[in-house]
Amino acid sequence: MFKLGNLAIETAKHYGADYADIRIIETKNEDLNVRNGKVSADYSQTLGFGVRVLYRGSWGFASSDTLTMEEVKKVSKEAVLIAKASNTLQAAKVRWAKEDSYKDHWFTPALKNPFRIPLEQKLDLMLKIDEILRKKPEIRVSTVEMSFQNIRKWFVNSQGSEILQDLMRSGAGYSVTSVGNNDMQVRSYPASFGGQYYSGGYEIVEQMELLQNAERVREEAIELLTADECEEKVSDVIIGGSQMVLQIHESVGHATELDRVLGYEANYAGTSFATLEKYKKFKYGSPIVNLFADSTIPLGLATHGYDDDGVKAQRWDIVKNGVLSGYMTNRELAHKINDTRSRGCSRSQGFSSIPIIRIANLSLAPGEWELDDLIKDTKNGVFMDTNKSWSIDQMRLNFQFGCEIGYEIKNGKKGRMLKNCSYQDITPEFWGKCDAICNENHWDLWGVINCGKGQPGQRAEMSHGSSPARFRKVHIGIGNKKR
Amino acid sequence: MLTKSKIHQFTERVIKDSDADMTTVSIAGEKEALTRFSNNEITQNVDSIRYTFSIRCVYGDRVGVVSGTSLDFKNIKRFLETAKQIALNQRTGKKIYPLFEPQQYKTCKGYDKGTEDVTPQTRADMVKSAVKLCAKEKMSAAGIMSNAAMLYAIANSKGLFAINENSNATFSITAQTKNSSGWAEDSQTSIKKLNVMKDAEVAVKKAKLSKNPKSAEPGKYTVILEPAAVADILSFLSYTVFNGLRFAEGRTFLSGKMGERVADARINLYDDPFVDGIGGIPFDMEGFPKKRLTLIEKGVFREIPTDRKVAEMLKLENNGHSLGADDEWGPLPLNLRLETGKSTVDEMIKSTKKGILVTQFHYVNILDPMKTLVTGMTRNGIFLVENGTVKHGLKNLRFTQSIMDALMNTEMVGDRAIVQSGGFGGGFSVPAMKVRDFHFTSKTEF
Repeated sequence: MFKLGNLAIETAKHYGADYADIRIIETKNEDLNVRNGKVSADYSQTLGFGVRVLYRGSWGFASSDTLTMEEVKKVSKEAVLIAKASNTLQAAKVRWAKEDSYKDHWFTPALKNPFRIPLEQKLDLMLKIDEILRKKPEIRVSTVEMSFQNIRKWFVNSQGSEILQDLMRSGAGYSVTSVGNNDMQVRSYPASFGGQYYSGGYEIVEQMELLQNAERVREEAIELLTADECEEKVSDVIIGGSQMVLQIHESVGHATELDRVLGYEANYAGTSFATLEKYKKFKYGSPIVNLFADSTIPLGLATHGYDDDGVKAQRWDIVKNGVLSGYMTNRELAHKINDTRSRGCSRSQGFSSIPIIRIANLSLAPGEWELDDLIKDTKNGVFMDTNKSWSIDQMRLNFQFGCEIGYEIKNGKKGRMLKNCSYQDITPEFWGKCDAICNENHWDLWGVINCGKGQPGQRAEMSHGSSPARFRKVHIGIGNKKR
Repeated sequence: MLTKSKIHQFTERVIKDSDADMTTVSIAGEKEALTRFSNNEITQNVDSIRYTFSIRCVYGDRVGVVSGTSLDFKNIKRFLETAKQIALNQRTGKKIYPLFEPQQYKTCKGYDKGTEDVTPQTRADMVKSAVKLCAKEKMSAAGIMSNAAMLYAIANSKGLFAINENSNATFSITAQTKNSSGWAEDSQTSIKKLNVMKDAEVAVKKAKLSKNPKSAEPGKYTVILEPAAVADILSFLSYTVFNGLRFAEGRTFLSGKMGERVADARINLYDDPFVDGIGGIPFDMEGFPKKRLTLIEKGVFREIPTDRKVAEMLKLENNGHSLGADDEWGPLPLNLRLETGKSTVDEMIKSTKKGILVTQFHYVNILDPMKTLVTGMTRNGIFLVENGTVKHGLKNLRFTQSIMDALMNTEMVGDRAIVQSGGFGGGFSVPAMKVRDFHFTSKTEF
């Protein structure tokens, strides 16, 4: 593969490229689904390459799924021709940050290769869960999912890097839809929208306690049908760990992507309020709020050896003691914040997509509270968890999120179940209301597998770590009845 | 893109090499080239061809599905063997419907060879002229110019072979000042139908008009939704209320309401893949001919998409909306067409004492599917309308609104529709709408 890679680099240079890289990517996926007892099993495999070139400071990119020497030459030449067209409307040349060249083989630590676990064993577990979930007539739909991915990626650039990465991720989860009382409700485990995902092997699925939680999840879905609706009011809220994932992702992750900040996404995903004059000054949240990015953290979906610019994985602060302290950067834009080196956030969906800045694994550092103590310390509030719906404005300020389940907290005690819970706020005001974060006993990494960005659209995966946290005086229950 | 005969050869070979009781092959192909610009310069320029094939093999009542990207004959046997292993390793079977025999289809117009072959230099030249206009007005432009061709083919071991091709050219531009922005987008089957200068002018005009926006308090307002804003919310009806399986399982707003009045009498809503440029496909993902559906007629709920499973559940006919033989999501209307009315946007503005004019929405998401309650933000041009005229720009607002309530509260429907392909059979055609009591629930800072 490296031979083909070097052929692409030589060809691109021959036609005038000043810089070139190629990613040859082989992806294997196994997606298993049991819906109301019916099995769907889908196995997919893709292989192809993408060549990216800089010509006089302008970009060109072309790709193909035909891995022959002739095709590599043709596509590399095409990438240079595209870069020459880009060069006709250039305000400034791309400034490409320095990075060492590497010859390396990096792989995800995985104990059990999920592709070697017999299909029957995986389906057995899924069907057992499905049976428990559908034991009550109120459950109209039960969906159990497992998904495994293995990516082998060969990266070669004109600066001498030759890197092979072997990335594995595994995930599983289930959800039930209950119908009755003129209502429909959903409960999921361990998280919504497909479950929980980590980088690693099948051992991850075995540790999820999927069977042990099925009955509880089913009963919660049924109870939600007759539960009281979360009233619209201003209230203290404790946000559970799996919902905090979306909070971090939408209101901090996307807001600190440097390409968004600089207007590169202005026509599509939007821009950001976290503009450069705020760097290292702006109060993003209360002093207890610390958010860090980490491409080396074990089990993270964006954990790798190198990004798609060939930059080695790192850990850095995004919000330190409540102050905006960092951005997600790549080699093209690092100089815009006077960094001499990229943070390594350049990733693409696959061989046919150009690398763009993506959110790294981004986590809220744990605080000092036990969850029980935090509830005891809350006089009037609502505990909400598990994401159901999300929306945020194009500058990442006004957000509104919905949760699958909530519980009223009265005089320090968790009380009645609440349905249709939602909360809305403005990003820095909300994080400024954070006055308590639970400790590492309640902290977990949660995988996001459906992050969309870019034109043409690309999907990326990353993880966010968090424990439950409390926020004071938040607008909740939007659109529901007021008290 | 590959020719029809090459696609046919691949599907024939798969079917020939398969020892399954039933074999189905589907292929989706896309050639997409896209030039992206921001801050008045080209920032990204890409060109890619992608094929995805899916092979479904049935052994008895067991099914194995495999998919891949390379249409190389030498891979076929390996994929077929994997599909067989997946099928035979399942302990429980499921109900298998027979494959369809060869069918006759109506034609969907939507392919232009010239659009598939546009060069990067042509795209760069089109972008340059639009950017020049924004720069002259001291505005920063961001957007895309893309051209694409898509094909979808399905074949099975009963001899069915169906193929459909679409092309698409899209120009989208956001013009930005320090505290305002304006947006315009056009999507056509042929690049010749695009007018990038006109789009740039609209974006610039909106950005100028919304400079120094004022705050509006959240509350219920009469809104004039331009077609793009209508599309942003109406598209949610496809998978919420008009999902045939959800409807049959009692999980949608419309469950049990067939024949009842569910919208204002001005609302006529169809699923229509045969509209020029909508990107429709005349068959579903089992190769069955797709029927045009009247979803809502003069405000009354009439028809629901079905496949064979849902048709059985509802005791209706299969109307060709399957998303695949093993689909568990449910048949959907992929080409919503809201019939045009008689009013221009100017007439809507003139007839409004106090209201809000909305260019587009951003990040709309469903809160409660049973109520069709959605939330989202306004974007790129929101204006206060008072006493029949546009007064000034407003800071953006968040809405939390039931879509079906909005259809019931419709007062005027626009006389012109935008038609847009969403790729691989999806797309919509919608005009502007004037709606009373539209609920804005919070505001933001810009």
